[in-house]
Amino acid sequence: MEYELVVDGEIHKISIESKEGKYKVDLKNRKVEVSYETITPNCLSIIVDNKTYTVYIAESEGKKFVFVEGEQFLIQEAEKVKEKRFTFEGEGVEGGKIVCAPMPGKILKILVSEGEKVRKNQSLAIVEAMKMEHEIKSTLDGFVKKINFKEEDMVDTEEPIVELETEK
Amino acid sequence: MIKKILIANRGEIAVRIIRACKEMGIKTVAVYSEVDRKALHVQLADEAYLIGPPAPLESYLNMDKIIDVAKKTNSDAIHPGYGFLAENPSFDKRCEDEGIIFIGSNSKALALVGDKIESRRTMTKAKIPIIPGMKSKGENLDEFLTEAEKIGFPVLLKASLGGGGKGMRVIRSKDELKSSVEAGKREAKSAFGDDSVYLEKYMENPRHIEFQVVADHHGNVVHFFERECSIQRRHQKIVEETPSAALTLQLRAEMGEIATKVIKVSGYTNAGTVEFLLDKNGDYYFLEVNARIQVEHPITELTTGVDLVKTQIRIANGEKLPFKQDELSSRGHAIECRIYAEDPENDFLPSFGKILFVKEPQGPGIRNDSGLYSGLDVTMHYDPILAKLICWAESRDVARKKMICALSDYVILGIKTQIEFLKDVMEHPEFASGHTFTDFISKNMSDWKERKEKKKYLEPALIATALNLLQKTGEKVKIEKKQTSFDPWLSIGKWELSA
Repeated sequence: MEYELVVDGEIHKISIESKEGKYKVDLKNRKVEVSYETITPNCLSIIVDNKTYTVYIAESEGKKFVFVEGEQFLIQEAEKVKEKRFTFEGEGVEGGKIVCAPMPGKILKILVSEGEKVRKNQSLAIVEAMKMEHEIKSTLDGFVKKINFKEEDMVDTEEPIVELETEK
Repeated sequence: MIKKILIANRGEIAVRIIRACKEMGIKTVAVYSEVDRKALHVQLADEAYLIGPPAPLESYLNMDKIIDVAKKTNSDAIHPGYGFLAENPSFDKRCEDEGIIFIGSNSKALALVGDKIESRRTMTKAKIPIIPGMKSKGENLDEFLTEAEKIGFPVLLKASLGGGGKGMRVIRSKDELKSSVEAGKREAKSAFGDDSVYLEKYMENPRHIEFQVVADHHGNVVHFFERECSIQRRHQKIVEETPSAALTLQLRAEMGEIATKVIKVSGYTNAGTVEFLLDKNGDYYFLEVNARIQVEHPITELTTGVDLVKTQIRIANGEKLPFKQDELSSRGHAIECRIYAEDPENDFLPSFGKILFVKEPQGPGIRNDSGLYSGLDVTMHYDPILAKLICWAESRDVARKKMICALSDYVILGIKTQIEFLKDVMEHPEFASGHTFTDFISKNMSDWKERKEKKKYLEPALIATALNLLQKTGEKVKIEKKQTSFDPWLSIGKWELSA
């Protein structure tokens, strides 16, 4: 069987052949023989090159949460990776024009209006969640194209609060 | 004689209290909101009552409903845990009026120490050193400005009825004052129901040292030494340890005595914690009294051998403290790491969702205080603290290394936690050498990002995932095969293999 697994945006090809209870694994031009046992539905034991690894796996919506020796990975089958609809506000997000709520909460204040010019990192709104106030900041220099909520509205994670546009 | 206790709380502390009660042969009553039906504290209690929708005001903060359940169940006492109603003098008084024992201080002392401004005045009168700053709440912006200039920037805005690091803001200049005071007042009103705020001198780089004190109803007061709580983020503690590397024997004895005096002067009874800030010159200042059993109480329990929750219950029962100060000693070193449902990659904002799988670390000297189980739904309604991991060993560095191993063994799948971050704190050379000041995180780890390049176990993770997928396909094929070949069982009718 051949698998294409995505971890942190990188695709890893891996193929497995099962023969007499042992598994021959082929990945990135490295071939290993692996002994594999299921301990519980969430716990597997593998022996690779005589090294033992206890791996914990839990799955939700096609995403696999995998834990080995204190490290955690989020692994998905390549065909199941959905396109992310929105991007989070924050540094390094290229042209993230839609500024979303980072978590569920209530909109306390909208500090800008549609059509207004904004600078990068300028405060656009204040969201209250977990008894703390969080400033939602602009990701770019431009102007406010659309504001989708008003004060006192409740928002959920990744809901688009403000849509921005760069200046032409 | 207390025979039944209602625990007016949830999560890990409710579980902790229920365990202490079970060991003492005391019956327990749990209360829960609609989203907590499957919570561990409900599972463990003898009786459980639904008290309302998730919003705290309609459930865990609802005094009427809680008192109602206490009366219906003939509970002798209510243990409020920490947070929620634990430091609410009105609730304390309500219990007193209804003849229900409140496991905590008497309401008069609770009101006194709960008002930070009032406490500052009381301690000043008793000649206990306090942090320079206002001794009454600010009435208008002009007053705040005048006081801020008198104290000298930077100043710290605090809520008079605040606690737990909430509602505090550092103000570094005149320009920030207006917006900070306004935001601070809003947060205070929303979190504590009162928008009284005041200013204190902001001490740069202090150590946060607190003393655990207990007082019975017979005038006996003892302290159980200190806890060092300097590793904080957003003024919230995330790592605590005892003993503190900063205290000499002399300082420990002195501060311990002052802590005891603070409790006596306030007329406080039962368990409480006296917080100090210690500056670089070895000068200490009274900060506030935490009038509750605290999150970090386990580190004191592991080093002194005393069960603080049981002690609380015994004091509430009217018993005399069975130990004198000179009979108490602390042994070894204990460190606690608080496990929060927070996303370190998203500025540590709370993370929600279902915990698909959890496996807590185990072993000698490893203690888990938690309400976790596989399948638990972490919702947005309550504090994101999931669990506490505590390690005890004969010395600090051994405890630190044990904690690193334990954190590496901690499996929580499904939601984000800051376990990786905590491991990096433990491994940081500044932590290893005991340089723990309240600016530890902002100074040493402000741009912390999960070190993806350092991941050594990607290969086994991929192999295991692929094998797991292969096995699942194999199982599907096996089931399909069975259904197409002739099988007398099929003539019985439709049947299914359960997962």
